[in-house]
Amino acid sequence: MRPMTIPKPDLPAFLAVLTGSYLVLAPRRVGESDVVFSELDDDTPVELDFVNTVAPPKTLFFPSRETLFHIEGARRPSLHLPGSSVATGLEASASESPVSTGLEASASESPVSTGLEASASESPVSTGLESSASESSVSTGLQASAPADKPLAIFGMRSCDATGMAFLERFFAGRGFEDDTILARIRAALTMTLACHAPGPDCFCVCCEGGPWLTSAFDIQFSDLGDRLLADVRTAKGEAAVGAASTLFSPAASEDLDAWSRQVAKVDVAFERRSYIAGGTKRISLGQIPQAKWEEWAEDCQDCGGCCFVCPTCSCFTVTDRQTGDDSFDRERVWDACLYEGFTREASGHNPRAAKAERLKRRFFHKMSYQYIDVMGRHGCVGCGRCVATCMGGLDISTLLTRIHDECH
Amino acid sequence: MSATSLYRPHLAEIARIEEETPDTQTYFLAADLIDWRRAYHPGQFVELSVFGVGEAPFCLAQSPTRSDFIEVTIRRTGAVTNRLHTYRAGDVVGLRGPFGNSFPFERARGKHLLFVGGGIGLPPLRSLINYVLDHRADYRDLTVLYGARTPADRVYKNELAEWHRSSALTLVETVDRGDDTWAGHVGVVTTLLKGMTIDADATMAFTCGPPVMLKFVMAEFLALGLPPSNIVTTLERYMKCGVGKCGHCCVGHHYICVDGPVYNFDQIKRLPEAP
Repeated sequence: MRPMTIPKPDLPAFLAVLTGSYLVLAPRRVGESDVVFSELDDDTPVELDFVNTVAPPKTLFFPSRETLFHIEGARRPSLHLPGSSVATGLEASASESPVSTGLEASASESPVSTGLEASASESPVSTGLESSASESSVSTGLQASAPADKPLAIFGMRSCDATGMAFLERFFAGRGFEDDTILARIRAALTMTLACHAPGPDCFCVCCEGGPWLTSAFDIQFSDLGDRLLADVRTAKGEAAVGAASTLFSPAASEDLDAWSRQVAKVDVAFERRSYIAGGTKRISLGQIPQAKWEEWAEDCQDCGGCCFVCPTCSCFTVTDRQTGDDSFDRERVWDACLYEGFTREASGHNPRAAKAERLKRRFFHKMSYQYIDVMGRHGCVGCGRCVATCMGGLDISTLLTRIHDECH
Repeated sequence: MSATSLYRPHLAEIARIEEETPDTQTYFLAADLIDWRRAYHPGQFVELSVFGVGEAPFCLAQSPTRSDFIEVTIRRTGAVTNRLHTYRAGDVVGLRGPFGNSFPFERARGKHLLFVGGGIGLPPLRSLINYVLDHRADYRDLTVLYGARTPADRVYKNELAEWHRSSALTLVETVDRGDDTWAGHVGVVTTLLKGMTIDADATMAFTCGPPVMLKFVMAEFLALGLPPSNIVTTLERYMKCGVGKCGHCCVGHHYICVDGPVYNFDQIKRLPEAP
């Protein structure tokens, strides 16, 4: 589709049209300075003048805490799917999964139940392992009682964060195992980025191939041209969205594209922060950083994990069984951080990364080495700058890679 | 539902429990519905759920050629295994898998095989040893060296007795500390390797045991002239997911759960963060 424009006052009307098919989220200001993605309402306008949201959009697809299933009875368990959860209804592929044995649409096909059913009564052989989810739909056996939620449409995602989402999509699809829940959420979403015309002091996407403009990883890329937005529509999903509100959009005129070109040229040199990503990556990859340096830097790490949690590409998690009743539990997936001492501690007490320096080294190797670039197609930093704002010890990607460049010859 | 199918366990009832040592038991898990029951490879592992406590990885301890059960041999160590050791036949655990790569049993064909196991390191090796015994004509000499702390700490005592009687393999055992019942070698397992003569290029060596043992065994293997790529071990790491997602088991750019756990010494040396 050729580039389009939409007057800024028409943006709410466009987003309102999308609410027919999507749960629409847009940046909204809360308090003085924080901007978060939230659902539209009439009280708070969509924020167009902001650096970035506090949390990366990964939280919308990969929540910090999520129930995988309920457990009734530890020793003679029956496992139940959560009745409602973050983004339920977006994960439609369970019955197609070759791994699943007990979640299929009709339990009656299974000669003996294996224990993860949503509808018990159809199973010809009762094993006592069935769920009691009587409210579940007989037609599929898959849905919880709540109707399927709509996929997400996110307006105003920054370029760096869209790059991060593409990275996570690749990660969760990789190594021969697809995380179907997270992938379904990501793939169903309508991604409408808002390119940056005013980078913040922590931003360094320009050093990380993470922005400020993108050529992929979005459905529609909006650029702020003052009184109107330029819309670069790249996918069928994006075209359908614009098509559903076609009266609000006009084909971009040549002066719109000229204005855009001038803005691109201006923004590319507007970044205050410069990060020596390439030099640092090379030294990390080749093991050219003295151990003493890692130990020196690690003294400033507070083990808080903040850098991991705010990172658009960090994805480590742990899995725990949380007690919810006398003999019932939720198995939960919870974000974890490689900088935590317990991250690699084994049951025996042996911990291959007991030393903080080893953990710091590990984090940077994982995010910024050729070895991972080979696997993931790019390094793991998109230059959003959240770790710059978060780390009290100056151990963010931008600062530390620049220090590696400066201090490790 | 929210649970991606990757993390949903099968339920498996404990059919039988065999006491191996004062702190180690073998669990025979009924797995009628698990379609990989006899289709995994020696060296692979499962994630075993003790519901209400959590999940942990354990090697598949029996050759896929042998058992109608899923067999895991587990020492009481952490939260999951302590709870599991209170379980009885009829209790139900969760299973996901099989995960990981496997021992290079194809590449080992036509070679002499040397196994060195320490303590609870024998179970993963046992899956391959019994596999080899069931394909005996494909391999040349089969030697198993097994060391335990004390005679009581030896796992699979009945099977060890069978192996001693068998002409299909040579089993040599040692214990760190003997007692009145023990008439065999006393000393660490590496002492059994010293002075061995082997046809190094025609031999593949497999070892598993505590980290300190591995270090000395590796050194002895190299001293015997074994090429590093013929020395095979299985790495252990804390892991949660088994499918390359949770990040806990990363070593260098490898996820031990999907790229491993089986590595040869040449590969281990090239890991940027060598264990």
